[in-house]
Formats: sequence, structure tokens, C-alpha cells
Amino acid sequence: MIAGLLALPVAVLADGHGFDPDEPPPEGKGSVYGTVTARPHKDYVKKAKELGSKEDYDDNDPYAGSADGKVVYNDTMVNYDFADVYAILLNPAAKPGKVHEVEAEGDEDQKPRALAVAFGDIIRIKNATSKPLTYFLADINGDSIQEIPLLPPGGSADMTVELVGDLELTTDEDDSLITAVLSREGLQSQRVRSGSTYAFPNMNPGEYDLLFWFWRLGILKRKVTVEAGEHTDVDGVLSVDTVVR
Amino acid sequence: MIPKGKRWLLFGCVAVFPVLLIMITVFSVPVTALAASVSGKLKVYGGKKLKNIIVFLEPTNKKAADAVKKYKVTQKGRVFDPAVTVVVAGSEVIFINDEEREIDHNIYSLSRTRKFDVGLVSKGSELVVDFPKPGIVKYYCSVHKNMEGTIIVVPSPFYTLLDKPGTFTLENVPEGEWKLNAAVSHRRYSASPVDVAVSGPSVDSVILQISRKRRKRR
Repeated sequence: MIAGLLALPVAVLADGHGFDPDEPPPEGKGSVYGTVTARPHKDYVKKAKELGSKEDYDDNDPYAGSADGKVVYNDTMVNYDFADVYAILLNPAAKPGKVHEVEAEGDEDQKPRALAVAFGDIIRIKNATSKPLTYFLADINGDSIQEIPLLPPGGSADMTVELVGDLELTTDEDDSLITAVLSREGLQSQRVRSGSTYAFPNMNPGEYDLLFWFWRLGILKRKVTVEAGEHTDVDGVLSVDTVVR
Repeated sequence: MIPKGKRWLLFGCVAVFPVLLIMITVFSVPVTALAASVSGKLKVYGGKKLKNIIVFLEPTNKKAADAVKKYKVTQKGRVFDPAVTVVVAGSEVIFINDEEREIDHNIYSLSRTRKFDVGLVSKGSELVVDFPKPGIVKYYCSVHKNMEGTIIVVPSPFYTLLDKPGTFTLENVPEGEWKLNAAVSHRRYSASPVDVAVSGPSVDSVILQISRKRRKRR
């Protein structure tokens, strides 16, 4: 969809790093933008809405629904409204070197849970636990490994990403400290809250791979064509029923 | 009345059948007798105290004997039970929603070994997923945040689960060429497979090593 339609309120697009689709792109450039959303399985959404619309619906019912048609989440559930999702553009012209921070905060607690990085980016790791940790990055579909030396409690170190693929950042000593890492050549990314807008402005015209990713739901792939002078609108909905086909 | 020409045919069938039966019996006895045990020791290098290691045999040049089974995974209390299930390739897993209240689950996997989405599993329902090829399959419930499980699909029925490194024995292994291997959940560690030739009553003292993966880039 080419956006000439963009009468969307600018406030809605605030997540797109100040991107304004009402403003024309710079000379010879184009952009990709849209909304990325994570949601429960479509069958769950349907049933929750049906139950929620019943007059005798009990708010304490373990099956969560509500009369206004939205899924109601309780503490045991994956709350998709608060999911951090990634919009990713694979751009061969992008330069690596971005710094991403990861912190082991305590036993079995490492943040963020997921990270999208480019080959050559830097992961700055902080060990805020009480024990020394040997961090390594592993390809979950192969044997490739890279590591950094033992990190003492309170210490931090940089790891330059030398692997491409679906990876995990964890430690020798405690593999419950874990960050899912998606690494690709020329990766540009924006992490946004589910239902928010992303934007990749000032792109050279051409074909690109666009990925939407939520570590728990996997990757949704799209081909996108950027044209000079145009904003290209691509929305993504991440759910089990859209990802597993 | 059977025509004369066909009586010989009938006689032939009647006469050949017992002979075939005897041949099958005679020749099948030694095959059974050749089933052997494979035993040895699993050693871990690298200082880590690994737990829950699956030692298994993989046929090198033929399909393993069929041992396809049905396994069950229950979901009561928003927990997959068992959390780790070892199944033989070709088997099926029945996911059973045995919740006491009306709690639905949506079980799915993004694994390369077996990608699936069973849809909504309501209370009392059972859904079946097949696992045709070996590998490790992590699966989740898309509704409940703490529900995750693992299915380890082994290539033959000759496997054992060790709670810690040590001795192992695999029984009733047919003669032939096999590869002894192990599956570990810690991403830093992997086994070095060992070739095992089974031709007598037992193969003893096989050493299988698990060690830290060395730095290896693409």
C-alpha cells in the first residue's frame, strides 16, 4: 500500500522515531512504516469474545474474555498487549556497530529476553549477579559458538557479534540466564510495544526483506519494495496462526 | 469340484506353506538370538555437572526397527507433564487437556524438527501430533506464559535417559552398524558420536564423550 492515505494522527505514529508520513521523504529516498502487533491465537480471541459478551460472564472465570470484545489477561497468561516486538529491515547498506545492552540481574533473570542484532554489532554484557559467568553466543541450529572471557560479579564486557542466525546468549554456569538473539547481515531494527508503529525512513529505492519478530512467536517475513518519494505501509500481525503455516 | 489342472496348484500351495513356515521359524530364531547389549560409560569433559542426558543408537545404513508408540503429555495446572518426553521417530504424542476448570491451551512449536499448531485444546480434549524425524522440539502454550516443554525425538528405540554422567546399557540391539550418540540440553556441550558394530552377544566398555564446544564461526 502506498501511503497517500496518511491522515493518521501523528500521535499514533510517535513510536516511529518521529517519522511523519504526511511529510514527503527526502529527494530520491523512500520509507517503510506500519504497525506491528502480537496477539493470541485467533481461535482463542474468538472464544474469549464470545464468552465475554455473555451477560452471566464471571470476571473470575479462568477463560478470559470481556464484554467489549478484548482478551482479558491474568497473571498466568502471556500478555500480548505488553509484548516487545521487533520490526527488522535487512539493508545491505546499513553499517554495523550499534551497541545493545544485556544485563544478568539475578538468578534466572536476564534482560532483555530477546535482541535483534546485525553482524558486527556490539552486545554490552553486564554481570549483576553474585557469581562469575562465562558468556557465550550459540547458533541454536548448528555448532557455531563465540564467547568472552569469564566475567566477574559486577563486571561488564563487550562482545562483537560474529555469528549470523538464530542464536542464544547464555552462560556456561547457568543456562537459565538466556537472551534469544536474532542476527542477520545488514540488520536494522526497531523494538516497539505490540500495536505500535515502526518506521524506516530515508531508504534507498529497491527491494528489501522486512521481518516482524517476537521471540515467543517467531518470525513473519515480507518482501517490500521501496520507491523514491513514497512511504510504503506494511503492517504485521504476529500470532501462532500467522507464523506457523 | 476343482478342475484337474488346478489341483496341482492347490497342492503346491498347501505343500509350500508348511515349508515356508518352517523356514521362517528356523531363520528367525538366529536373528532374535543376535540381539545384543551395548554398554559403556558416558564421560563429560569441561567441568560442568550435566543432568538428564539421553544416550541413543542411530542406525548408520538402514532404518531402525519400528517401535512407533503413542506418548501422552498432560496439562493439568497449566503445566506440561512430563516436561521432557523422549519419543522414537515416527511416534505420536497425544496432548491431553486434563484441567479441572475450563482452561484452554494452544500448543505450538516453531522448531525446525517439527513445526506445529494444534489449535485450541479445550478441557477434556485430546490432540495428536506426529514426530517423523529425529531432533529436539521445544513447544509452548501461546496462552500461558510458564508453559513450555521439550520432546526429544530419537532415531531408534535403543536409548536410555541418564540423570547424570556414568555407566549405561542398551538392551536388545539388533546386529549391524550403529552410531552411539547423546543429546544434552546445555548449548555449550555436545557428544562426539562413536561407531559401534554389533555382531555378538554384547558390546562392552564403549566410551562416549561429551565436551564443551570449541569456538567455531560460520
